[in-house]
Amino acid sequence: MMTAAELQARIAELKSTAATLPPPDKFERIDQILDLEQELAGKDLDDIAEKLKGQQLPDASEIDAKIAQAKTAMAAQQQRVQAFDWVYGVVKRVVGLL
Amino acid sequence: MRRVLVMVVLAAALAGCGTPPEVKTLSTAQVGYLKQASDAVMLQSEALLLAAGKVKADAEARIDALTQQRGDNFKAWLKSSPADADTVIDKAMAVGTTATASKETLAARYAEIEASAAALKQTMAKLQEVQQVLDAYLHSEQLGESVMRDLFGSATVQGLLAKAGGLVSDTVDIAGKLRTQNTALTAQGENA
Repeated sequence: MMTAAELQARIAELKSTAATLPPPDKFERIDQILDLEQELAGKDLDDIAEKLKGQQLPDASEIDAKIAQAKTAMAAQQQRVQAFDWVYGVVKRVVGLL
Repeated sequence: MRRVLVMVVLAAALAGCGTPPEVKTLSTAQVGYLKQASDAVMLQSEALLLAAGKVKADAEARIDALTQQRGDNFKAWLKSSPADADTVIDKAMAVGTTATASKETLAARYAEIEASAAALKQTMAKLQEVQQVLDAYLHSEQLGESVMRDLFGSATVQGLLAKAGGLVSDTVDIAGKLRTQNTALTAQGENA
């Protein structure tokens, strides 16, 4: 596969060759080359976009679901802690523990 | 002595209930690290978008310049070969097609790059949120911490172990002093 620089060099070479042709072939050939250049200009961002297509990211909705599950579990855990502390407080008061 | 030993054993049993302070500190630091990394990634994404925008603008300008060159080429062609007028007019009318298609391709690719940057930004924000939730859990009170606080005045394992260690060394000191006093008393008795 040609690099951008190689492609530019090849286009310049084609243009030079086309300029040596007799009319009307010369103009037709030059127009074809210019058309090709326009098409290529439209692909200037293709490399970057193609590279970024390989970017694999975790599913945001899956992360959200796991966060929600964890928050629910944490809330339940805190309720257990509060219940334990309440019972512990009662025992401490009644029995005079510690 | 027996009470001290009971407390040490109880402390060891409850040691698993608390989160070590170093872990909590690391977790909180990780929230900051992720924020910094996220900010850096965002800056790089913005830089990439700036560069892509410049490439797009340059390409669009080149497409316009090429359209101009093709127009000049058609004029020269007509001047040179008036008999090709129909062909030249057909080609001239189609010039806009390639230019428009190329500009549309550029716009589509730029939109894809923008979407990739936005997806990365969203992921980084989610990762921060995950770490914040984990951090909140690590800093929340765990079962048995209230008992540990009452026992040792510290909910941390390190604090708890330090207290236990202190109690053991105090006990050893007291035992040593008693042994010394006992030896001195025995010697005094023998002398008398």
